[in-house]
Amino acid sequence: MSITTENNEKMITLMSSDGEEFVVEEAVAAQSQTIKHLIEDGCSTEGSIPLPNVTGRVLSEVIQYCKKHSSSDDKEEKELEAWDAEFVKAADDHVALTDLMMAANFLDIKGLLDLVAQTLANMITGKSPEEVRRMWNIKNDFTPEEAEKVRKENQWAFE
Amino acid sequence: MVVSWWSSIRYKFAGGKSKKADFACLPDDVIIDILSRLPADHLLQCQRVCKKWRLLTSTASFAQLQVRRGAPVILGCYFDYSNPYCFYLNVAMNVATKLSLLQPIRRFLNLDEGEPNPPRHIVENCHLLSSCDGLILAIRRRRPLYVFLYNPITQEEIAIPPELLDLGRICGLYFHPVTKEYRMLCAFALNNHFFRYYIVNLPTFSYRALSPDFCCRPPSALGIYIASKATLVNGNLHWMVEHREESNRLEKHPPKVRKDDHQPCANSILRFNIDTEVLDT
Repeated sequence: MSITTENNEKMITLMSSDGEEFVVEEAVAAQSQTIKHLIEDGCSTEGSIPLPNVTGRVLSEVIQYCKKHSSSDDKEEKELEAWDAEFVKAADDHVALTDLMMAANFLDIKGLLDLVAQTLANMITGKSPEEVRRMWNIKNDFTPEEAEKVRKENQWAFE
Repeated sequence: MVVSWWSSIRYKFAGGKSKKADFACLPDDVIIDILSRLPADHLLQCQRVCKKWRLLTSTASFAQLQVRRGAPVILGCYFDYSNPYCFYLNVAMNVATKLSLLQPIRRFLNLDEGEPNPPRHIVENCHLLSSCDGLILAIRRRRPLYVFLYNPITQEEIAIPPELLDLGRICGLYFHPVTKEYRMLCAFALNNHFFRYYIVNLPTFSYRALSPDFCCRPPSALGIYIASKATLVNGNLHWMVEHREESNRLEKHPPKVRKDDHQPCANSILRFNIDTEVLDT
C-alpha cells in the first residue's frame, strides 16, 4: 500500500460493464463501501476493479457525486445540498434515477442512496397508482375484487 | 458481500435489457427505502399499485422505518377537564402504522379557527391508557369493559380480547425492536403487596408471566392524570408508583387497600426494561 499524501494520492481504475475505464483517487472511490471492501481485500492491487452491473454513463455520474462529496467538508453543507439538488435534477427522468439508484445500492454509497431514494419518493408523491405503474412498468396484479377491497380499506385517506 | 454481488448481477440480467425503468429489478430493500419516505396518504395510494408493494409496506418493520423518518405523529394530546372522559388528539398525517382493518371509529374534523390544519380526532368516552408510535391504547368508559387499540391515522380499531383483561391492569404499550412486535405489559394484583406482571404480544394476544412476582404496583389505570402513566424512554417503561390505590374498574377483583396500608416502593419510579424484561426501581 502506498502512503497517501496530498500530492501523491493513490489512484485506482474502475471499469464499467461496457468496458469504459475511470481513473479516480482511492479516497473518492472508497465512498462506495463495496469498492472500499474490494480494495481492503486486495482486489485492486493489479489492473482495474470491474463493476459488471454499472454502465459507463451511470458510473460517470456516480463518480461525479463521489468527487464532489469527498472534496467538500462540513462548512459547505448548504452548497453541497444545492449541488445535490442540481445533480438529481440533471439526471432528470425516473429511468436515469432508477439506474442511479441501482448503482448506488450495488456500490453501497449511503449519501447517494438517500438522495436518489428521496427524489424518487418525491416523484411518486401525488401520482395515481395507474401513473406509478406506467412510470415503472409495474403490472397491476390485483383482481378487481382485491383492488376494491384495498381501496375501501384506505378510503379515509382519499375523502 | 458475495451474496449482494450475485443478487445484483441477477437483477441486472433480469431487468437490464429493457430501456424502460423497471422497478421490478430493484431489490426489495431499495423499494422499501423509497416507499418509506412517502407521506402516509400517498403510501396508501401506493398500496394499490401492486401486491408486492402492498406486502412490503404492510409490515411492522416498515411502519417503524416510516415512523423514524417521519415527523412526530401526535402533535398534541390533551384532556378537556369539563369532560374528562374525552381526549383530543392533534395528528400529523405522515405515518401509517397499519393494523388489520376493523370497524372504524368516529372522527371529527373539529378544527379551531386560526389553527393550521392537522385533523383532530376525538375519541369519546374513553380513557387513554398508553400510546406508542401513534397507536393508542384506550379503555371505554361505559360497561361492558372494552379495551382497544386504535390507530388515529387509519382509524383502525382492534379490541383486546376480554380474557386478557383478566390479566390485570395494563401498564403500557411498547414496540419490541428485536421481535418487531407490539407488546403490552400487564400487572395482576396477587394481594396488596405483590403483583404478577405479564407480557402480551399484540398481534397474537399470546401472553406469558414474568417471574418473579414484583412488589410494586402498576401505574394508575384510571389515570386521567398524565403523571401516572407509564412513559417509554430509552427502551424502558417508567412510571410513578402511587402511594395509595384508587378504586379500579379495570380489574375484576380490585385489591382492598386500607388507608394506612404502607405500599412498598411508594412514591418511587419503577422501571421496566423492554429488552431484558427486568423490573427495578
